Amino acid sequence: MTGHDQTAEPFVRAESLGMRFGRAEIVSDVNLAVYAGDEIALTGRSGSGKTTILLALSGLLRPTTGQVSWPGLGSRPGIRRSEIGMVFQAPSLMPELTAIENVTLPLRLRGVNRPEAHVDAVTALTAAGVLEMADALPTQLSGGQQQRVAIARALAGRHKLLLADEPTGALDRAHAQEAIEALRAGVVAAGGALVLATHDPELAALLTDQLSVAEGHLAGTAIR
Amino acid sequence: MRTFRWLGGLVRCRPVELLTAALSVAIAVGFVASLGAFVTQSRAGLTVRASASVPVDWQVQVTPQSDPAAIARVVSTLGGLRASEQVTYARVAALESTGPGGTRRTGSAYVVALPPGYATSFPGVIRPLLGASTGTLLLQQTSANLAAAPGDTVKVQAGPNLRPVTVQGVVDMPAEDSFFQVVGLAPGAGATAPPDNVLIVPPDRFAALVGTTTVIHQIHVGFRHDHLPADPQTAATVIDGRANHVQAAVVGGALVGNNLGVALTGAGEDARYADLLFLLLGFPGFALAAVVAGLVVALRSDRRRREMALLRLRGATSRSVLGLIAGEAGLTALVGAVLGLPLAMLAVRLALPSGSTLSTRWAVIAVVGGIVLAAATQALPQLGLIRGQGAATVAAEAARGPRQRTPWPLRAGLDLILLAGAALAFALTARSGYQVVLAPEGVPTTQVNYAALAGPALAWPGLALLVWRLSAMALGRRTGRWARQRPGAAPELEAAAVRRRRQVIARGGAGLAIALGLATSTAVFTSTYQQQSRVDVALTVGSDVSVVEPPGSTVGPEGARSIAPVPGVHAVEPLQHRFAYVGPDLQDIYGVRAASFARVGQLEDAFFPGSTVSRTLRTLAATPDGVLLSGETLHDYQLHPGDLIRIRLQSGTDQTYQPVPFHVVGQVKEWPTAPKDSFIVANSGYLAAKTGSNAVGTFLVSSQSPATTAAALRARLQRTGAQVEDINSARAKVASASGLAATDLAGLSKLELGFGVLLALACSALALAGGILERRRALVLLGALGATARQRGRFLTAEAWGLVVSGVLGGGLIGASIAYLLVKVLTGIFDPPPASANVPWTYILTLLALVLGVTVSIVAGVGRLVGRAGPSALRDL
Repeated sequence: MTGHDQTAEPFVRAESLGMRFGRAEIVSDVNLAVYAGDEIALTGRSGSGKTTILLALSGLLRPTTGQVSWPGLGSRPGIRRSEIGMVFQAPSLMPELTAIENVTLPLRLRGVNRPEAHVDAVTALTAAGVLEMADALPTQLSGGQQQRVAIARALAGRHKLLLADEPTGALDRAHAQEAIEALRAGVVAAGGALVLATHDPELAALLTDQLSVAEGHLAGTAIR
Repeated sequence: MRTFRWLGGLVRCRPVELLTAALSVAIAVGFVASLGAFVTQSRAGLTVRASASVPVDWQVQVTPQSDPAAIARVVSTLGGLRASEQVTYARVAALESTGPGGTRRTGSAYVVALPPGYATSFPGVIRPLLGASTGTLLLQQTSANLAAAPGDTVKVQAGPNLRPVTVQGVVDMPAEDSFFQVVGLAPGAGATAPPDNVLIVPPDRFAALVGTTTVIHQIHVGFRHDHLPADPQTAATVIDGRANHVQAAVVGGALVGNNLGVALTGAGEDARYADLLFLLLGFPGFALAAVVAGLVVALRSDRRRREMALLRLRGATSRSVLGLIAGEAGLTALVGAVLGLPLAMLAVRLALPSGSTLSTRWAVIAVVGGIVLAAATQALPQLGLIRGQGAATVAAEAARGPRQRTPWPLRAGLDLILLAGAALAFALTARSGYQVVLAPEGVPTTQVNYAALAGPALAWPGLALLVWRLSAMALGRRTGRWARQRPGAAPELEAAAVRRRRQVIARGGAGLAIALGLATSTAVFTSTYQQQSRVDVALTVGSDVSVVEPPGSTVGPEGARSIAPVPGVHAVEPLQHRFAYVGPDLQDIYGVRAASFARVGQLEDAFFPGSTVSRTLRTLAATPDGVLLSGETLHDYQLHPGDLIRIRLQSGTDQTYQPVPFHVVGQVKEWPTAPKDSFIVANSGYLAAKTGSNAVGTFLVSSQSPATTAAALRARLQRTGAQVEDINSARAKVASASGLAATDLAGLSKLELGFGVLLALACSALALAGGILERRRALVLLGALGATARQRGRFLTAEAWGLVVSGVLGGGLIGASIAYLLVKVLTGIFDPPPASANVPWTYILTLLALVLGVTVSIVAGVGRLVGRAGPSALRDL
């Protein structure tokens, strides 16, 4: 939102985005564009619509009204998915794979060969501070460790657009800050952008931009 | 009230889940009820056939001091009486006839007086062969002994005088041994040989012919069989009680020869085999239905655990949770019963003979079984929650990883223990000669040796657990190292997922293996049963078609020339039949053309212990004076192949018995048309040369269409008096050793094979769908991480492949082992015992194709649906 190239295409653009589940309107009239270098914190209370906005930006949910486009991420099938990384609210690891296998998984699905994927996974696990748990299964990890593995999985992908939904919910303050810093570093290294949903104002303050979400609406102007 | 609200919610919100669970219970209810209908119907069939096989239900023999008329009056008051006729007979010194060949004289003979209406009242006693069917009649054998035909004069010697009668007809007495039984012998005292010489006369001629010879008075009684209870044992009890009542009423004035009671008791013993079939085939089917029901419940176990955990967290007591679970189990059982009973009716209608119906007793048993099944499969998995141990957080429930630890039965080696027990039980059964139905000495009724069933009973769970163990071991070694490296594929990760889910996959594989094993083993068993019943009928008839020449016929082997051109006839072989004495034993001897007999005879290697069909017939053909003897004869007379034996053969010219030398060439257990006990097989050329007669008793015909060929032969030979029989029409009449007719077997086969397919498909579909739904969250996650449908499919395929391969291989192992055990343990049910089991490959391959088809459909269909993430699934991540 600040300090980026105004002539570049945004990684993602939401225009008049509305999401409705059944009769309930979860999100309405959201306009947002995310450019390279952006670090945006979506803040708001539980149930305000943060997760739904992130899922729509990731392309996993199709908007009920309005539209979401990814002009800066390419249009070939599959490219967009590989360029968008997601950290979910819960750790969301494959329970039958070890920590390093979970981190390797999206890389291998993208066609990265096995040795290269392994190196990237080790780097990401190191950055997330859980390398020593690389061979543990999710059930052998604490909730915080699982979440850090999930963050490592997102970092290893070197995605252009990284969307993180309450990634620090299971972490204490110190680890949460470390995790946010790791995400920011990863985004910077990949030349990408970070959109992070959190209800913690202190963590949101670590990012350059903050947008508040209340009852499905974004407060303030977020599109340029 | 809370339970009803909960159930109402289930019906509104989860109708598919409820219906699926109810359907699995319905399959079990339908299976048990229809199998029960089979048992009821086969028992009733046994009663009908047993009572129909008895020409005379009772032979009430009047004791010497009593008045036959008084006894007849008592008999006439019996309930359910259809007919009663007074019969008298006496044993005279001899019968004599004089013809062109000189005078012929028999040994002692019976003169029987039958009232005029006897043949109508008891149609199965006398079978007319030549001439008149009433009046003065000679038994077929007596006719041959005296060379007397209708119109000839036969003299009866009773005392010093010879009294002449003119023969009006020649007859056969199919139940001669029963007719001349010694009434009043203790059960099991042994049969008495029927007389060779019998003359039947009208009552008004009897006294003059027998003179002062001791006369036996009997009242032959026939009952209405449609009033008998359907169960043979119950019917036997009723008839035995009625006989005791009569004997008590006449105060020693008569003894009852209770032919009907004996036949029904025998049928009751045969019914034990039907019970065994139910136990050995039905119970595993029910257990499998339970596995299927368990798999259905497992489909929703995750969600159910969460729901129950929520209820417990929100303060629901154990008692209220138990009430909800019990209510749901009851509803499932109710819907299952409502659906299962019509399913059973449909199965009975499609599989069992027309007129078969569900019995109330079995319907109740099936419904109770369904309730138990629903309760066990629904309540047991949730007992932990009821006890409070499962009251974890919902998130913790959702994050549960796959169970990697080997389950306790395998850690304890229960599979090996069970299989060792099965092997021991089987070895003990084998040592007793596979006698499952026992007849203990001194006890007139049979007992089932239930200990013999321990072999299959232990083998079933043992093999299922072994399949689980072996599958888990094999899956635990998967690395994906040898898989083709393709962009976007992660074989090492797919293998890792399979490796860590090996216990879950192996459990599903074991379930599928049980289903396939059940379908395969019952298919092999029933197919072997049908094969042997076909062999049994073929041995009784002789070949596809048999042409039996009338008594006294002198048609030689050249008679085949008039049969061979008939349309449908493939090959014809003459079969001579004579009687011969081996020592003091009178045996049947069959003269055959050994070199070509195999063209028509249904021979198996198992009929020639220690040899084969071709080797034995080759040896016999190469030894003109060779004979094949029964094992009993070889043993009793200490004979061995190569030994010389002199057998007394009846001459074709003067009917006297002359010793003829033979050489023993081997042993024979079964031969077309031969009796079950001792008999002899020799070369027809040698037999004809030594007896001076080449008369052929039977021509055996092989044909592709026996019924059509038999009809054509009947038309061609109707004037010769030859009897033509074909294997197809005989099949319905000949009961197997178990007493079950071919129609029963066909019904049982259809039931077993139909439900086998249903259960195998349900099992494979549910095991796969269960696995996929259990991995629903992982599949959604894969999609969210960017996996395409194809990539998600590869993860599923790796798992489905492991499940199907272990299920199919395990099913083969279980099917082959259980089929072997069933065929061996139930050897007594087969007649003759099979040389090898008959594998119905078409059925098995069709079943495998269906299972693979279901697998592909489930993986493609359910996998695609599940992987498509909806808002709620994504928000759960």
